Amino acid sequence: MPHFSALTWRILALNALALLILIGGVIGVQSSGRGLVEERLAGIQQQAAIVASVLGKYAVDNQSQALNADLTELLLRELIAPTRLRARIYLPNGHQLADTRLLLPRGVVEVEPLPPLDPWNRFKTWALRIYDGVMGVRPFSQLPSYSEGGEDGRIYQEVNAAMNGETSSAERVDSQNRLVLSVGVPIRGVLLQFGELLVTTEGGDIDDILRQERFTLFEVFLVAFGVMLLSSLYLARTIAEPVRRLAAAADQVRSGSGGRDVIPGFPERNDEIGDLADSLKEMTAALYNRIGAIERFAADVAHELKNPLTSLASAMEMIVRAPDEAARQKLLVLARADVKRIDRLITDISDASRLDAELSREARTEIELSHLLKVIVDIYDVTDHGRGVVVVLKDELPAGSKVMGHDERLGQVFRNLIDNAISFSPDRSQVVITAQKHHAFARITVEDSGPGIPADNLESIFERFYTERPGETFGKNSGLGLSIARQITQNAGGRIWAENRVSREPGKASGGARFVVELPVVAQ
Amino acid sequence: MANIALVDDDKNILESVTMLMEQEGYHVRSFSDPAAALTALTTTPPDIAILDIKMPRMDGLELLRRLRQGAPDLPVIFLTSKDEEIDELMGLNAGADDYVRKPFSQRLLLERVRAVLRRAEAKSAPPQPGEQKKEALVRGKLALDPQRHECTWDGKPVRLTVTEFLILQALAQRPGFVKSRDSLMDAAYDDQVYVDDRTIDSHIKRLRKKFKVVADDFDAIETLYGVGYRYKE
Repeated sequence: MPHFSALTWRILALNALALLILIGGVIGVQSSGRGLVEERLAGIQQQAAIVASVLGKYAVDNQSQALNADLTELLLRELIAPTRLRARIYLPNGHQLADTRLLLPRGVVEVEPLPPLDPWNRFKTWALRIYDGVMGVRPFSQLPSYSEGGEDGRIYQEVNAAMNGETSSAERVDSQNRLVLSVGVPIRGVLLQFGELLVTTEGGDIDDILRQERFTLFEVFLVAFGVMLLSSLYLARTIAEPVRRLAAAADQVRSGSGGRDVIPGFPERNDEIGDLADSLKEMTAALYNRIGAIERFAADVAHELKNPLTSLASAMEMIVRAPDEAARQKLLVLARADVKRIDRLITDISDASRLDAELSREARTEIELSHLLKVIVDIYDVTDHGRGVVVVLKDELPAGSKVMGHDERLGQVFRNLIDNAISFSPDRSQVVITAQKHHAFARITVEDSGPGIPADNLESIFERFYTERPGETFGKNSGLGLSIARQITQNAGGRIWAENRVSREPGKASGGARFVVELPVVAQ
Repeated sequence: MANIALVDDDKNILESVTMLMEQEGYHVRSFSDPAAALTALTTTPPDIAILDIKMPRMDGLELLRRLRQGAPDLPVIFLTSKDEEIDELMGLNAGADDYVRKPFSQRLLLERVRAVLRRAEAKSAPPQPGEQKKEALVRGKLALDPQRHECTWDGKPVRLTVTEFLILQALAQRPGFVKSRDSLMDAAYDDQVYVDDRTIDSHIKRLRKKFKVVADDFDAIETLYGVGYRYKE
């Protein structure tokens, strides 16, 4: 048995089933052979009626007013010979007058074939019988059996009926289970009934026709089955085989033994299989990208941790050989600051690495932006930074403007931006937050009056671990805040960018930094 | 004493390293902004520069390239924290005299500074034939000059960092003898505690690469898996 996949087997089985139902239906409709039998019977009746009327007219001896045996035989021979029928004539008393089987030259004595004896023929008979059984060629076994009547025709009910002037027919099976149709017709003159005509089919006649039909059907079935087999295999090959290959490739990806390119492509296929391959390819690429991102993140983390660690190690070594107490104190301050930096980095890093998972896990909800901003700014109002920087909110959003996102996370975006703005702001200045509707977006800007951002760094400040800080704010930032803000904003379907405010003072390049967040508004 | 320029965007590192170098008697100028460093150092070039690689706006490699435009022989030691950075450093043939991995011990940094300065001095000083002959190490096509940290293969110069030079020297001193990673580490790093075994492997890899450039069939350094390395007799 060839090694087919389960899907191949299923396709084969389903197609075979459909074909079997069709063939079975055709056989079922035809199996009784009813149509054929009725048609044949009608034909025989017609022929019998013609023969009987001819005999009634021309085979009657005028003097005796009875059938003349010679004329009858002569006419019968002429009339029945071209048909494959057997006709018998009975006198009104039921005695047989003539039998075409005894008259016709080619079938002087009908030899009933005996069951063949050699094993091969026996096998053939059995095979035929099984075939007939399966194909329903022998639907007549329940019919009464036919037997030869000899000289007396009254054993046939049709002859009896004909004696009463009625035309009738009967269906029987002979000793070999073959169908025999017979029709009995009275032979009448104007006033008298001269006798009865019994017309029967030769055994096996109808069966042969039926078998022939069935055999044709069987041939059709065989051809259809062959075509079905080939088409099924083709179908399986175009479905099961690519799916199997994709599954094998996916397994390779899972076990990690394959590379990025193990997923087979089917660029010539515009169907679902092609789509599936494309999707799998994209999924694998996304997976590898994510793995790559994690790898880069890990490398970045190691890199970032090494700076404070280096500083700490250096300070520790130096403390031992510090020239004086003042230097020692200074180094201790450094060491403490480095420990804090390491701690902050680790906190932010674990935060950032959880962010991705959290964003994909938690469902986004509708958030009323004005409310969110107000809550955040209120917190800054009551927090003393010791530098007199004031956070001002100018909310010009239409009432009830909502965006989709995670409120905790979106809050983090604005807190990061505000923290960032405060850290760059000069003492006793303002950080202004403006919220406005801009087309289909809510646009929130965070502005400071700090030194601004160098023009070629407007984009790179959003990179992970990018830190460039003046003066005393050094080391108070992990370089992850803006990158986290961008990640959250993009997840919420929005975008974030930085620009410089136009300076009002001549000769100064920037009037401060402006961070812009745009989020799609879903409802008002 | 020598003038040292120290450039790193991490201000805390600047402070303790400056303190160290000043205590050793060097004159130190430190910068956390590479742009400011470029301006100041172009005007008054130092005797040696210690540069961090990853800095915002201008990385250490770019800074070195620009500094070398004015002072082509400026000795430089890079501070790195990533293997990829070292590969980049070597791949670009940026002409680093050596590099030190973060986190580093102060003692190692000091040794490297001294070695690189010594090499620079030896280069500029007129050769002293007697002394040089005595110290030079020749193994077949390989010639090592420990005084100048100079190396040639079949007469062609191979530019090695101080660390690479020390490792190669340790191997070539006793051809046929296996040197474990530990002993090579001792040779190159003294008692540096932060270095792992893999560091030696990547140094050997780079050494081979550099020799392959001048001689395709270079195979003088053999790997004995699980044991160490050996210089072919």
